[in-house]
Amino acid sequence: MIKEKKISAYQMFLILFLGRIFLPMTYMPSLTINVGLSDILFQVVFTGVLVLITSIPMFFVLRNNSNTNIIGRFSVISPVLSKVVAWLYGAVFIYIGFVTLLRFDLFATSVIFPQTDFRFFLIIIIIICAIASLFGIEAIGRTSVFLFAIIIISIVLMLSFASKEFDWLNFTPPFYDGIRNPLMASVTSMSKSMVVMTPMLLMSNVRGNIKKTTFWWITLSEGFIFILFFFVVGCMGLYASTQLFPIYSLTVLAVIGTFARLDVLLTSSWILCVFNNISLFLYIFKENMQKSVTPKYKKLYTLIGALILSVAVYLVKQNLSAIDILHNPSLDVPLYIFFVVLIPVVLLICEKIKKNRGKEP
Amino acid sequence: MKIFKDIFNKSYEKSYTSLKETSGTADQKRISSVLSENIFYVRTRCGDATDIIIREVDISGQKGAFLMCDGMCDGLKINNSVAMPILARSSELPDDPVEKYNAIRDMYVGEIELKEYLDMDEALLFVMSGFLVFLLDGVDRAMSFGMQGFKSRGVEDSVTDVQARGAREAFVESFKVNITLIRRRLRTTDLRFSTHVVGQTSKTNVILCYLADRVDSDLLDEVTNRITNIELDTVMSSGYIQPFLDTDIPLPFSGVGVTERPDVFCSKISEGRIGIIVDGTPYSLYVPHFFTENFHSLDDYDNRPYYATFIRTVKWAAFAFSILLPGFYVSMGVFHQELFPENMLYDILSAELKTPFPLIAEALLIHFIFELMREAGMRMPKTVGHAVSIVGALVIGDAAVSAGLVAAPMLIVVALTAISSFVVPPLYEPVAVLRLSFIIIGGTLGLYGITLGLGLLIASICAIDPYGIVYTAPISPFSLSAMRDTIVRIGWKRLGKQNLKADELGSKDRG
Repeated sequence: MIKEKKISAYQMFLILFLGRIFLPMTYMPSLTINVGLSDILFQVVFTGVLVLITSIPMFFVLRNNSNTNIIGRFSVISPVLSKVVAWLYGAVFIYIGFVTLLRFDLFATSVIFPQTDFRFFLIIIIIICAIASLFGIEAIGRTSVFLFAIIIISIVLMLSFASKEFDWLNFTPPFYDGIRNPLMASVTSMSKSMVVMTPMLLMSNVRGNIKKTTFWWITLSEGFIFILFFFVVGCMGLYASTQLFPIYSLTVLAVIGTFARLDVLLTSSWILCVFNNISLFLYIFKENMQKSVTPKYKKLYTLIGALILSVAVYLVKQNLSAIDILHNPSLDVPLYIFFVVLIPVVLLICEKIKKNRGKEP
Repeated sequence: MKIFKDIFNKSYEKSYTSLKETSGTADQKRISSVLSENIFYVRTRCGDATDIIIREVDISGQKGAFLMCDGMCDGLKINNSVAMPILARSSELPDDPVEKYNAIRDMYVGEIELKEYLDMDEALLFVMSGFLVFLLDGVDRAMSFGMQGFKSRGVEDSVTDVQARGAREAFVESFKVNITLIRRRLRTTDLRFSTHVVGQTSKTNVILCYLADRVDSDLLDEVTNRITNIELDTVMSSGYIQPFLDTDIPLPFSGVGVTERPDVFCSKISEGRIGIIVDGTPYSLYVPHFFTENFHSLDDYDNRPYYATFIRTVKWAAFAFSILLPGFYVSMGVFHQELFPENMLYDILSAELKTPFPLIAEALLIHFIFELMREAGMRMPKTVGHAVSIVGALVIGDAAVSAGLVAAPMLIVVALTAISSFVVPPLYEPVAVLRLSFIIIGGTLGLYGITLGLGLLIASICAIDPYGIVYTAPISPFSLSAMRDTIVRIGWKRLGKQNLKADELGSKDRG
C-alpha cells in the first residue's frame, strides 16, 4: 500500500474551520475600535467580504491544483527565492501560533485563574502539539473530524441553553455612529485572520478541489461567527460590550438543570482549537524548514519550532503585556497584506513572465 | 517388468527434478543415499532426545528406517497405514532401491498426506511436527506421512469472548483444527491458507488466511512480507508476532485485531481482511482492524437492530467513562468545584474531609488496589480467584470507607469505572493505563489538561494506519455508507445488500 501524505479537501476544511472559529471565541471588544452593539454583526460580514476580496490572488494560486504548494511553485522560478519564502512563511506561522497562545493565556489569566502563571500550561500545550504534529498531516486531518464534532456539539449546546436569555430588544439600530467604525474594526479583524493563507501551503497535501473548499471555508466560518455574535448580542445586549470575552460570558449564562457552569465546555472547545491550530502551525513550520534547509531532521525542525514558541511565550510575555502584543494593528495589517496578498501576486507575476518568456522563439 | 522399471525410473526422475528445484539452500544437509549416514546425522542433530524414535527395518534385504517423534504420532494409524502394508508385503517389492521406494510411495501406502524431501533438516522439522518419515538405503530422499496423533484440547466455548447467541466454538491450540473450523464456515474455493514458518528455534507455523477474490493484493504482499521478515527465536503465541503486523508508532492502541472465535474470524475474512493463525495458540489475528470494531460483537448481528444500536451506544459511553470519569472527578474536586451541583458538592466535601489523602492520591491508590485485585483474581486458580474477589470487594468497599481511607463518592466513581472498563474487553489494556494518566493530568492540570490530553489521545488514535488503512475509519475518514454498521446497526435486509471491503473503507483520505 502506498502511503501518501494527503488529506481530503473536507478534512482541510475542518482543520481550517477550527482554526478560524477560534478567533471569535477570543474576540475582545476592548481591542477593537468602538463599535456599536449591532454593528458587530455587520463587522463580521464586512470582515468576511474583506477576507474574500484580499484572498483573490490566493484563489488564483489555488486555481492551478497541482501537487506543489506555493513554495514549490516559487522553486520553479527561483530556488533561492523559494527558500526565502519558505523561511518567511515558517516564521509567520510561528508568530500566528505565538499570538494564538497569547490569546489563550490572556483569557486564562484574566478569567479562569487570575492568580496563576499560565506559562507552564502553555509550554505543555506546545509539547503536546509538537507530538501531535509529528504524527503528520493525515493524523491532524483525521483528528479534526473528531474535534469538529466535539466543538460544534459543545457550542450548539451552549447556545441553545443560553438562548432563553435572548431578547430582540437587545439589537440596537445599525450604524448609529456611522459606518466608519465597523469598517475600520473589520480591517483589524481581517488582519487577525492570517490563517487564511494556510491553503496555499497545504495545497500539495490536499486531494480534491482546494479552491472551492477554501471559498466555502471562509464563507461558512464567517457565517458561523455571525451566528455566535448574533447570540452574543441577542442574549447579552449592552452587557456584552463591557465584557473582556463576551462569548465566554454568554456561556456563563447557560444553565442545564442543576449544572450551571457550561463555560467549561467553551474553554475545553477553546483548548481543542488551540491544539488543532498549534499542531498545524508546527507541521507547516516543519514542512517549510524541510524545503528550505534539508528534507532530513523533521523531528528536529518540529522541536525547533516548539522551542521558539516556548521561548517566545516564556520570555516575550515577561517583558510585554499580552494586550500590547495582541492589539497591534500596525504590525498585523502589513503582515496580512504581505503574506496573503503580496507574495501570491509576486508568484503569479513571475509565473506569467516565465510563461511568456517560454513562448518567445 | 521392464515397463514398470521405466515407469518408476521416469517418475523418480521427474519428481527428483521438481524436488531439486524446490529444495532449500546449499548449507542445508542433503539426504544421503547411504542410510547409516542419515541416521548418524539425525542422532548428531538430536543428541540424546528421548522422544525421537528411529526404527530400523529390513525390507526384502534393503535397510530402511522410520523416524518419528514419540507422543506426536498415532501408533495405531502408523501400524495400519504404513508399517504393516510395507513389512507384510515386502517380498513383493522390486529389488532396486529406487524402484522399491517408488512402489512403496505409489502402491503400498494408502496415506493421502504424503510429502517428499531432499533435505534432512526439512524432514526433521516434519518429524517434530508429528509426521512419520521413511528413509530407504540407496535412495537419497525421504518421504513423510501425516500421522499426527498428539493430544490437543477439544473445541470448547470461548472463554474471553462470550456471546449470547453465537456458536459455542472457539479456536484451539492446533492450527489444523482451527483451519477446519474456518473451512466449515466458508465453503468456497476462494478461501486460501498459506503457511509460513516463523521462529528460528520454535519453527512455529503461521498461517495466512484470506479470500482470494476479496483481498487486496498489495495488502496481502505487505502482510506476507512482514511475516517472512520476522526475526524471532521463538513464537509461543500470536502476541509475539502482533507488533510486526502493527503500526510502528508506539501507541497503546493496536491496528491488529485479535479473536478467539472462528465465526468472528470468518466474518472479518469475508470483508477482504487477512487472518493470521499461529500454531499453538487459540487467539488468531486479523488485519486491518478498526477502532470502531472494538465496540462490535457478534451478538449485535443476532439481535434486533435497535437493541444492537443501543448496546453499541452503551459501549461507547462505557469506554468514555472508563477513561475519563476518575480524571474528571479528581479535576472537578481539585480545580472546578463550581461544576458540581450545590447539594452534591456538600456531600462530596463532607465525605472527603474525613479522608487523610488528597483526592488525586486517593484515586490512584484505589485504582492501584483495584488492578491488584483484578490481576490476582485472574492469575489465581478459579476457586481461590473468587475468594480474592470477595476479599477485594470487602477491602475496597466497606473496610476502606469505614477506616476513613477512602471517601464513599470516590468508591462509587471507581466502581462505575471498573464496570465500564469490562464492557469493552478488547480495550481493557489501553484503558487501564490511560485512566491512570488522566487521573494524574486531572489532578495537576485540571479539566483543561484533560481536554488537551483527550486531543492528544484522539490524534494518536488517528495516527494509526498500518498498511495505509486508517484505524479510525469509517468515522475519520468519514464514510456515510459504512455508518449503517458503525454505531447504528441497520437491519439485515439492507445491511446484506452491499459488501464493504475493509481496505477500501480505511483508505479514503488517500490519493
